[in-house]
Order: sequence, then C-alpha cells, then structure tokens
Amino acid sequence: MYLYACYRPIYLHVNPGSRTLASYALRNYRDNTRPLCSRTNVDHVANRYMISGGSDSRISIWDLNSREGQRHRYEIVAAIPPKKGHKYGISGISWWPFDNGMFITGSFDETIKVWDTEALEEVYKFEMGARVNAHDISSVAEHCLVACAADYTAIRLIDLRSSGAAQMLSSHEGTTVNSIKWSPTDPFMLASGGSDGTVRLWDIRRSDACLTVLNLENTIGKGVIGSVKDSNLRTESFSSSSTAAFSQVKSHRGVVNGLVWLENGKKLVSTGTDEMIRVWDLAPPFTRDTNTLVNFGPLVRNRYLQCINLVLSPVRDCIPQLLFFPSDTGDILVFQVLTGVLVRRLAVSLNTRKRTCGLVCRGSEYVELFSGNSDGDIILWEAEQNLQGFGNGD
Amino acid sequence: MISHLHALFPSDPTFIDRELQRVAEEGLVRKMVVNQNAGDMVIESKDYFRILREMKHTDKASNVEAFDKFEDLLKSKPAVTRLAKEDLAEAAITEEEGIRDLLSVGFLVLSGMPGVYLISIPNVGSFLKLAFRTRKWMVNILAKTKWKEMLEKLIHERWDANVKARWREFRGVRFEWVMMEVKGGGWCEPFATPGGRGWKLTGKKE
Repeated sequence: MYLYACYRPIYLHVNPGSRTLASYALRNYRDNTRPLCSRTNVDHVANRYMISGGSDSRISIWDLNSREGQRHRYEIVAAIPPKKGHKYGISGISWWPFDNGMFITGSFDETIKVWDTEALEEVYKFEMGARVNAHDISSVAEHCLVACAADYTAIRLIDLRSSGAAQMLSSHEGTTVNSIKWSPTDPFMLASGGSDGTVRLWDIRRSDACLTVLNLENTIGKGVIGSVKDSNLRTESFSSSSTAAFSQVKSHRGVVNGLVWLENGKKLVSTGTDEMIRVWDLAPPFTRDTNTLVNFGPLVRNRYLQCINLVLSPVRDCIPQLLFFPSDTGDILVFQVLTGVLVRRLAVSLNTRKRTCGLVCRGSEYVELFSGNSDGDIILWEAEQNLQGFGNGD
Repeated sequence: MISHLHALFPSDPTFIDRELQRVAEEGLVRKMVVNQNAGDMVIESKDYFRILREMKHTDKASNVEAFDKFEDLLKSKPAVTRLAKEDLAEAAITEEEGIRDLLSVGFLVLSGMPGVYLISIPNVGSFLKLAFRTRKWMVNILAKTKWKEMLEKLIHERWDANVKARWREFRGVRFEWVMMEVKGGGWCEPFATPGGRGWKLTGKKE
C-alpha cells in the first residue's frame, strides 16, 4: 500500500478525427469511459478493454494492453462512428458486467441500446420516451435489470432477459432522475438521485419499493428531528399521509447528480448541485440512515445537471480510500472518502478550464485513472510511486 | 457565519461540521439557516436567549408568555433549525397569539413552505446583507482582473478606499472578516506569491 505522491497526466491521442471535430466547434464533447473492471478473478477478460462514448454519439473501444512503452497510444479496437449508433450524445455507457460480449449505452436521444461487441451491432433498443440521464446494471445480481434514470419522475427497470420493461419505481417528486446506482452487495437494492434533491433507496422486491429518503438532517449523534417526523426507519412505509412532511426531506439542496457506493455496500457517497459531497452511513433495517457530516471543503464545484461519475480507488489499493471527483473547473479533486480531506488536485494545466466529463479507474490492485474531458481528450493519470517518503500510507 | 469557522480551521472541515452538530445538540450553540444560499449561521445559546429575553419587553411583543414558551421549546429541541406549525402548537404557541409576535419581532421567519417557520434572530437581514455585499464586492474586484486574482495588499488598499466611500454599508466590517467569509465559503482561495499572499476566484457562482 502506498500513498500517491502525485499523479502524472499522460495524454492519450484520442480518435484521430477529433481534431477536425473540434474545429467545427463541437461543444461538450463528452467522453464517458468505463472499462471492464471485473472484480472477480476472471482474469482473461478483466481490465483490458475500455469503452468510451462521446457527446457526438461516437463510441470507441480501446485495448488498454496495447500501450507501447514510450508512445502512450492505445489502440482503438472497434468504433461506431458518430450518428450511426445514437442520434444524440451518449449519457452513459457500461459493459455487460459478466463478460465483454455486450455493452449498454444510454443516450439523450431517449433510447437505451444493447450492443453486441463482436458484431458491433445493436441487439436491443428500448425507447424510453425521455432523455436518459444515467443507467446502471447490477454486477452482483442474477436478474438482468438495467435501471434507467431519465427526464421522467419514475425510474424504469428494463429486463434484458425478456427484453421489455419490468418495473417502474415512482416516488421521486421532481421532474427528473439524474443518477442511479445498484448496490454492490445487495442484488435488489438501488439508489437514485433526482432533481427533487433527494437520494432514495429502493428494494425492488417490495411492492412499494422506496425504502427511504436520505435526510441530510439525520446526523450522527442523537439526530435532528425538528418538524420533519423521523420516519426514515427503513421498513416504515411511505404512506401518503406523511408525504406532506416528506416533501421537505432533502439529501441535497440541489439536484443530486452523482452517486457511488462504497464496496462494502454500507456507505453511499452522493453529490449534488449544491456543491456538496455527502457520505451516508446506511444502517441495517430498523435504524436510521445517517449523514456522516463529512465535509469535503469549499473547492467542490458542481453546477451542471449532467450525471457525474464519482470514482473510488479500489479498496485494496489505497488506504485510506480515495474519492476522485471531477470538478466543474476542470480539476479532478482527490479526497479521502471517509474524512473529506483533500489529498490532491489533478489539473492538466492551471489555467485551462476544460471540464472533466467522464471518469473511470482501471485495476483492482492499483489505480490507473482515465478522465475524459469536454475537449474530447482522454487523459490517463498514473500514480508515481514514491519509494522514499510515504511508506505504508496512513 | 459558518464560513468564518471554516476559514479558521481550513485543514479539517469535517471536524467543524461534526463539532457544531455535537455542540448544538448539547445546547451550547444555536444554528440558524435562514437562507440556504447565504449559508448557515451560528450563535452562542446564551447570547441567543439573552436577546430573546431582552426583546420580550419591547412594544411589539404583546404576548410575553409566548416568548417564554418559545424559549422552552427551543431548549427542548436544541439542534433544530426550523419548526412546523404542529410543533409550535404542541408548545401552545398558536397563530394568533404567539406566532405573529415572534414573526414581527424576528425570532421566526417565514420559509417558502406553508406551515414551516425558520428559527432566526431579529435583524438577521442586515447581518446577512452585510455578509453578502462585502463578499460580492470582493468577488467583483477579482472578477475584473484578467486571471481572476490579485495580491492581498492591493485588495486591502481598495477595501480601505471603499470603506470611506461606502461607510454606510460597510461600517464596522474589518477586511479580515471579509477574507474569512470568502475563504470559508469557498468563493476565493488564497495562494502564496513572492509578493505576499494573493487571492483567486474559485469559480463559485452565486
């Protein structure tokens, strides 16, 4: 275990066509990158291919093992040119969690498509009827449900086995649901964040699926009750009589646009357009989910509604665990997740302000961080191992 | 304001949040969130109740018992920043008698939601306006520069000039107060230069 001394940015030369695209002012070229990070020991398919999707609707698959020594140039193994796959930009892209034969893309053209990697063809297409902001598929579940967060108050679950809509989870009150993540340990639990400022936890087996709304006023200690009746107890149902009080419960004072679970499934990190990152302690049933009041400092910038990829360093790699946060100013802020201390700011250069739109890390033993920015570049950040100083970390 | 506390302890903001919560629950301190954009405010409980008792005897307060009941209610819920009509009713403070008085004196403030009141203190508006205007002044000064940064010495000179010119607004405010507000709230960050400390905008919008 070693503490990172610093991160070095290495530019990947992206799609050779991107320069010409940049020249006709492609605003917000957004790269969402998500490699196949298999947490099980299926080594032959693990950690090799990265798939990126951009706001020009181009999709590319990179072979991460193809780096040649000095040149830092990854090979694009396959690509779907712009406009051919989706009509508008891609809001989220993820590999099928069990092997890299399929991948799923969600786009602002209101569809979710499932693709076959070998043939590079779409296998299924689901019309969602609203711009898809984010989607997620569980990596621990046997059900093949894709949860979809769109500009619509309910969350739709799509069953890939029956290739049809499975369930609709309604409880969010705002106009959109902006982020969604399955639990890494419980195959039936889901967390979602919406424009009503709430993070909701769902158990899809229950008929009234919403388990609880995370309340920012439920803090450690005796807890704050005030005017909102303390009904965050997990199994208490969301009856309509209490909705008057519930409409005041907020997890963030803005739109919740980023979520990530800690690997043990017991804590959730959320971020919202109130420029705060909150870490929640998710308690077992019958007790309260609490806001652990970790303060990540004043440098967090988050004003855009787009779903933010929050990335955690792998558990085995770094102690204490790090959270990588792409701030609106273009820096990537590296925090210790449980204390909120800012460890590093990763910036390519001090005065350019290109927003990082996609972030993903590769590796279960060590971290390589890939960030995609609004200029169309994908940058690889590698840690320099500091052999003298920091020893075994904290 | 809480931003001042954050500026005093820049290395550990989590500590401040947690300590504030702990101390609020013990009843030593009262948190007030009157305007979410303006930020949280904190006051020592003994000062808060002293002001409450002083204001009890002014002309506007026709109902002195309401203030006593309010004090008891606040002491029973030390960490709360807002109250609903039901909670006030439980403490026997009803609309006609108590709430109207508390509103007019300034200990309760209307929130956007019907039936919910925010705990406050009289003249909180002028305090918040002062914080807002001084902060906006500093942010504007930096925004006019090319790289959104300036040496502290220069900002201080401009501040002194400003205080003389706009003394009605800015009277009594020390430059250090403005710097702390702006740093703790995250609008500017300080950095070191060979010519002294400089300040730079972080890009936080209003």
